[in-house]
Amino acid sequence: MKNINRRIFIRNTVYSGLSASIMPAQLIAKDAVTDDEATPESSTETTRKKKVIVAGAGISGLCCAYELMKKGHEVVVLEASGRYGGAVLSVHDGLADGLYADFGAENFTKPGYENYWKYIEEFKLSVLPYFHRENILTRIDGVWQTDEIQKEAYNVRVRQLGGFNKRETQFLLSNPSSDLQLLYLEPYFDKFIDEYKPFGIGYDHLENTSISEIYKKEGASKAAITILDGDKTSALYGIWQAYIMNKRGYDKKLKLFRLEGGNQVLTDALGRRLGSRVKLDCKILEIENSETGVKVKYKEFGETKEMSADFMACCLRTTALKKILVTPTLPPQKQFVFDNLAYDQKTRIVFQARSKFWLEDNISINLTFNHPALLKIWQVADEVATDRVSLMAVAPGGTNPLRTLEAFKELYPGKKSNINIEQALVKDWSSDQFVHGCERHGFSGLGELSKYWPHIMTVHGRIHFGGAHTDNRSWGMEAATNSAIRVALEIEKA
Amino acid sequence: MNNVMKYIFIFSIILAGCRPNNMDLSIENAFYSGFSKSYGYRGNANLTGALMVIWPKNVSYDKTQEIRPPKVKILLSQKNEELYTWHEYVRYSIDVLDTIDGDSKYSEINVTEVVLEIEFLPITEGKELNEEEIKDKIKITEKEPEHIGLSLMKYSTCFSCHADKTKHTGPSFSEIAERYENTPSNVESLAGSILEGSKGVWGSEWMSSNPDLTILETERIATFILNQGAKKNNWILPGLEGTFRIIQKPENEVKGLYVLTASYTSASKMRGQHSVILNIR
Ligand code: HEC
Repeated sequence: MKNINRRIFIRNTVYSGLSASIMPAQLIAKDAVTDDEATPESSTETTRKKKVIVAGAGISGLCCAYELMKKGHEVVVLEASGRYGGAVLSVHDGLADGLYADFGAENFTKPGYENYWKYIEEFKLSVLPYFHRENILTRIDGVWQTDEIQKEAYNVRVRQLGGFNKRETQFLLSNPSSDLQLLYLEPYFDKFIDEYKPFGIGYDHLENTSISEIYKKEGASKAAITILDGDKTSALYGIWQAYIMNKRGYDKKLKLFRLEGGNQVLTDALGRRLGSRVKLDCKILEIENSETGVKVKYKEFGETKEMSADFMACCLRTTALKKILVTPTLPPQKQFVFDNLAYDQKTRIVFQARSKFWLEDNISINLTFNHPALLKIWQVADEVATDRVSLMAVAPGGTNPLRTLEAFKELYPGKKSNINIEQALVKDWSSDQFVHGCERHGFSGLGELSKYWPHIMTVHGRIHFGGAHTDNRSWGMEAATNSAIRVALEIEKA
Repeated sequence: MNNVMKYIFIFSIILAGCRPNNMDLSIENAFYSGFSKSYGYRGNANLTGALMVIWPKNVSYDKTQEIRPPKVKILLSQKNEELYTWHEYVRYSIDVLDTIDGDSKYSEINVTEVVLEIEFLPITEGKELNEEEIKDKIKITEKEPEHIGLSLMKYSTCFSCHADKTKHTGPSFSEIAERYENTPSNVESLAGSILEGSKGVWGSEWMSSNPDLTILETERIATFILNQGAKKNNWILPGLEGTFRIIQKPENEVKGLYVLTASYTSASKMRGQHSVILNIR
């Protein structure tokens, strides 16, 4: 992209464009409002109707605004870009025969995603199972390996390390090896009262202890300690996350799902219900915070405007928040979070092929390449009745999709002449001006957690902070809906 | 590109090439009477006393000239105070207008190619500033041609994942400079990482490979990163807008200057820049 010219550049910005008029038709909610408009529940006698500015119309902002609207509060959602949905983005344009793909948030689980599933039921959306993490071929040191071969290599390694001890062996008879750490961490779960409160329950000192120390202390074998590899992970963080996973049932066998027509169906449903309460192309520039309310300066179609409210539900990621002037200055702990929180940066590439060419090679298309221009690939929208297929590939941010295709062709484990890819679409989140990046990174290092938690979700004055990054696990749409509902409740009670 | 555009493009390179490096600065300063000339576009009548604006002469409007450098302008959030204070947040935005590339107002400017450079200059206690000294200070920060390493990074994807002094998806330039001494062998090995991509040195996140760059180019980038990362009172911020925080009051100084310089190099290889000075008390 060295000699980028104006024309190419403009084309690249279409998705993040200034106004809805240049949006591809398919990215706008397809159908008019067919569902019954959500009627605001009569707000409970005691709670006063509040005016709330929701910052950001990603899934979290939409969901928070929707909850507040249902409670009878007056909400306005200010969204800087020309579309709502943020990192939930389904693409139809450019794909043939009704194929589609999710450029952004990919899937949800059962168990798990409880708040998310409630919307699926409420809006009567149709859900499809998603098998992209099964039957995977993985390229390790240049050699393609099946799940079974990897399992075998794992067993060999365990044996070389002296094998598991009796307790571990016993445990693994009825549990998957991915749950091995539970054997040693589960005894610590009892003390948790609130999954949002890892501190103050007697484990604070474990923040600076590595989780390997816990395994050692509990009598784990050398093989288990080596394989669980926790030298650099804080014990407090590890125990806390394992507790949350356990509570939500994530250590059981997970089933993956997606929404038929693309996950954007849900954010579209929320957005439609909010109607003109969502104001697109309104970028927040400054926020004045006080004990009694907030005042926001924002830019709407190039014009600077002001708006006041009783509360702000701030559902912007820190990459956007950093650019906003907040007065008075937020406390240093919050500022630290803004300055240091990091996100995954991925490019998603959607290929369209004429047929399921991999079947001729008798292999799975769930392929993990571990190549810098192509990390993984799998099939999407497999329910669409056509011979053609859409494939989703992931690469690090900034990858040229044609290089991804080249890597695919070069390393594909079947016959190269069978490959019949005919189209490539790309979404590079790392260069998105509004949704800069994917999921946030964790805080697993020794002594890291207390730098971020609970400051990431702490209320300051009249600003409440939501967004997937503020939840206790970073799983996209689950964290987004959880945090939205938390913020809506906080404001309701305030 | 149509033929006319191609013609203009070639023409502009020749033009830029044969111009002397006229970086002699003109100063507009509301503080110092008799020094308040308005150069370039959009007058600065409403500047507060805390600001001083420096216009490179080549930004001046010349109607006889076909290709002009882009017009760049720094805008700071309106405030009532006359002066900036230590540890205060400042919001800025940058307007860019270029005859060929377009107008930032209409999203026609690639935001990653616009860079704000911030330099802090301490002023020792008791010494009042006079005109000459200010000029001297500015001389120090007078911009030589942009470091080729920085130019290459602007046109690439680096700033999607890296920032100068703060951690992002990848390590900051200052972290990189802290870890690797600025030696030829380190430059070479960093250049290799940039070219081929990397994972596992800093964490489990992937850095994309950059096969479009040459070895020489990645070495220049690595050199820039190591130099820039090691600078303590200098910050590079890409993009058209953002906030930055003025440093905490250094122990020995009561005053200081923040020199803000925004720049943009157009597709016609013409560079426009604009500087603003903040007086910190
Ligand atoms: C997708 C995000 C991403 C992009 C885009 C990116 N980087 Fe990186 N960069 C990273 C990550 C992550 C690391 C740490 C890699 C590791 O741990 O090995 C890194 C590491 C580095 C390092 C240190 C390498 C070492 O050996 O220690 C340098 C230098 C660097 N990047 C320069 C660049 C330059 C120059 C560009 C643009 C041409 C760039 N990066 C683009 C994410 C990125």
